[in-house]
Amino acid sequence: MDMDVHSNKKNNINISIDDILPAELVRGILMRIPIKNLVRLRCVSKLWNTLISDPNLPKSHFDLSLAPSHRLLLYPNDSTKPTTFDLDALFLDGPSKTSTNVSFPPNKENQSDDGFYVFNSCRGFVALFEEPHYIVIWNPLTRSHRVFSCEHAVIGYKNYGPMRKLLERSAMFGFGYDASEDDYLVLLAWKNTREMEDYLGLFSLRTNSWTNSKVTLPNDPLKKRIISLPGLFLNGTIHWWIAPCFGTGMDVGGSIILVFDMIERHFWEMPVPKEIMTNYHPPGALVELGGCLAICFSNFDKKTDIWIMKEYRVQSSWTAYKIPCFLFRPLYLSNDGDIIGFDMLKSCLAKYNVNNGEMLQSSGKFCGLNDFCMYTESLLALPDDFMEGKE
Amino acid sequence: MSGISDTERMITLKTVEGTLFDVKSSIAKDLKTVQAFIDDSDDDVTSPIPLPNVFTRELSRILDYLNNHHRFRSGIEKADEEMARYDAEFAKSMSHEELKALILAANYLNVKDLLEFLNQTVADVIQNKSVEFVRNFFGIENDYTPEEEEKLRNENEWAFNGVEQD
Repeated sequence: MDMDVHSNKKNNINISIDDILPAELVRGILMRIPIKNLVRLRCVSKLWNTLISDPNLPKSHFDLSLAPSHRLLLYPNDSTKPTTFDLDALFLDGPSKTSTNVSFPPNKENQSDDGFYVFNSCRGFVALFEEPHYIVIWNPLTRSHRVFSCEHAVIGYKNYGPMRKLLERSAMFGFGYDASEDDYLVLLAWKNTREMEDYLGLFSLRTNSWTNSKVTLPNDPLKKRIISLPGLFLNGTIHWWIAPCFGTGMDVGGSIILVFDMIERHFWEMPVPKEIMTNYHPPGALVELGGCLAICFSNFDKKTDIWIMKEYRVQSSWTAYKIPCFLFRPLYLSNDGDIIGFDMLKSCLAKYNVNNGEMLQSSGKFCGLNDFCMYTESLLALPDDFMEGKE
Repeated sequence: MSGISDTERMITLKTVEGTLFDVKSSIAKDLKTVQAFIDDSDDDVTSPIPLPNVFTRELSRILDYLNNHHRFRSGIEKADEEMARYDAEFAKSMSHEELKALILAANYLNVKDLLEFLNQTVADVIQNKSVEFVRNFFGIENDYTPEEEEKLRNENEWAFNGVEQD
């Protein structure tokens, strides 16, 4: 039974224990509470609001991942609204029980209503492309967002139709975090069709501005090559899988992983496993599985191949898995080491057990699986050095 | 102290109420504050070490926890299940008042594993509870005006669904 606070103070014996725990102890408890509940607890008192809104708490909360909350954002590209799902519960409980409707942030400057494309996420922020030429960085939990234009990059493609198609074939997109500057960067590389020169644009969320420069990309990936879009941000670098288009011939050099180092700000190349280097295969994707870089693609044997680089930058550590499912798109590695992903044909989640090779399907179907990305919820705020008089 | 091995040496601790506890030095190692005191002393510590911020009830619980955890870990077979059951009972046996007092004591004595366990226990208790419950639990007074609180709740409206009844 809880004793009344007042009678505690009267009974001398417990008087020297402060009934209110000191701030650093409270912080130790807050670190273990899932983000969603933390938001609510801002109302407890002004001190708690400060503790929870203190920029350092979200950072340590996110970095230490004591109670990470993973979600899936799905946007079927038609008029239906985007939905997010609690990933940890999704496989067991199915989509209808774990879904939440959300709204993409409004953009006053945009008259057109041609839609969004979901690209990828980083530290709780999701990168979206909004037709005709806007990029949106959005935190679905706190609803904070930043919108900016990339018109200068796509201007050569105006009147050619939906930007997304063009971006897929002729540009590279990436979104990641530069830990050395505590800044988020959006990367866009495109070919200026008049000059036939490649350009690299880097948008810093901290300065809210683009830095554009001419660039020479190794092996000319923007020319008739299929680029896995968007780039995968992992280990402080952005990765794209670049494979030659069918019909360009093998002499363009096989497929390669192009890497952009966020801190050093330069490109370098990483070889793919030699078994898949020169084979043509339908376009696939780069995914992060259990913190490792993975390549996945559907093969002509009606199965999906997944290659996981178990040790980063160690060629000999590439390990192959054959998933007995034609259009399998892996999402993440479960705690038990199973590969969980979408069965694109059946529009449901499926789990592949790496030990016994068995596939298990989750109950419940998704209506449409076009754009999706996973994100980990965070209370992090975007850097905004350029703004005076913050709210 | 010839003939007596280090792990059998006993340390005496004295609580606020003056109660004396004899503790094996291997257990005392987990009370990092105490261990630092011993390390800093030039001579062997023979007289009881006073703990002016720790009450008998809390020290007794902490030593119980440490003794049991040492026992679980020293077995030839891992006693994970037994330890989990003990931990659950340990957490359940305390009122909220006692839980808070124990956290303060564990923090003062710098008992890392126990403190993490207690933090997790409290986090589990409060995470789905209402704001009023949390205030009550920590003995915090609400220093928001009704208007300020209303505004804050509206901004974070979606986070208030699914809260357990007190």
